[in-house]
Amino acid sequence: MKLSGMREQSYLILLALAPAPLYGYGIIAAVRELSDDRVRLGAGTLYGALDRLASDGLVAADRDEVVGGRLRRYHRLTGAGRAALVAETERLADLHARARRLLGITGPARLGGATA
Amino acid sequence: MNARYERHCRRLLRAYPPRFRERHGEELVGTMLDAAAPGRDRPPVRDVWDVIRSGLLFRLRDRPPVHRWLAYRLLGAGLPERWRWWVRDDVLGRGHALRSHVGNVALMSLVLFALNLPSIDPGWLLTYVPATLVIGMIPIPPLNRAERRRILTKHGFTPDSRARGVRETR
Repeated sequence: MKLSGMREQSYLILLALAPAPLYGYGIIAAVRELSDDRVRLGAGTLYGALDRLASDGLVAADRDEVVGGRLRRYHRLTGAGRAALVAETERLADLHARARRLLGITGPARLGGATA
Repeated sequence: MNARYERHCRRLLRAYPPRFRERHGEELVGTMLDAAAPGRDRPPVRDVWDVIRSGLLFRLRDRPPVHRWLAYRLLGAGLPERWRWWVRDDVLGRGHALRSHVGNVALMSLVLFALNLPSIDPGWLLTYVPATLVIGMIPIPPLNRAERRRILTKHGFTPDSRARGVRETR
């Protein structure tokens, strides 16, 4: 579902990077988990998104590791990225609250996922 | 088995232009291999399409705007720093001489056409245009090489296409 503002994909990638820097496959796995298996990024889509986020200054390269002969480049959230993520989260929460009011949904919000 | 999978991935990477491959290629292949289901010879169609699509989109998006491209192609104008790696790929890419010649020939023809509009004989057009195109496309290696070197130098590369300057920027 695409809402105005940040794409869902970008949002999930930023969110995945919030706790700690991750490398490519780590991001794909984290996004899949965050979206309850709904959003499955391919490698091409991931790097297209990372490229855009990097040129917007929201993510940056963190470090490189070589594991099993393979290059793992870690990506991290920048300060601006974290701020954008928080802003978007607040915006979505606000929208969510308004929607619930408009739809007359009362009671505690039904949150998915076991962890905070 | 894994080696074959990796070969497929590397071949798919050619959907992206050299500047992307040089910068992100290893990482992308590594990610595809990490995500690979065990016991497969080649990536699933879904992932194949994902990479090809992303590569094509990157090529389409990461290019200079039309007016700048025209000035570069037809008038030999320099492109801003943001596009210098695009220029490098263009110059080092296959058929650069052809691509820039077709542009020059097209421009020359347009100019001559405009200047002679009232008195043009259609028969002449039918011979002139193909003739100029053919002649314009004859490769002259020393001239082509000089042209490539000129464009590279103009955009901050050494004549053998390495980036000038202390830091490797985008």
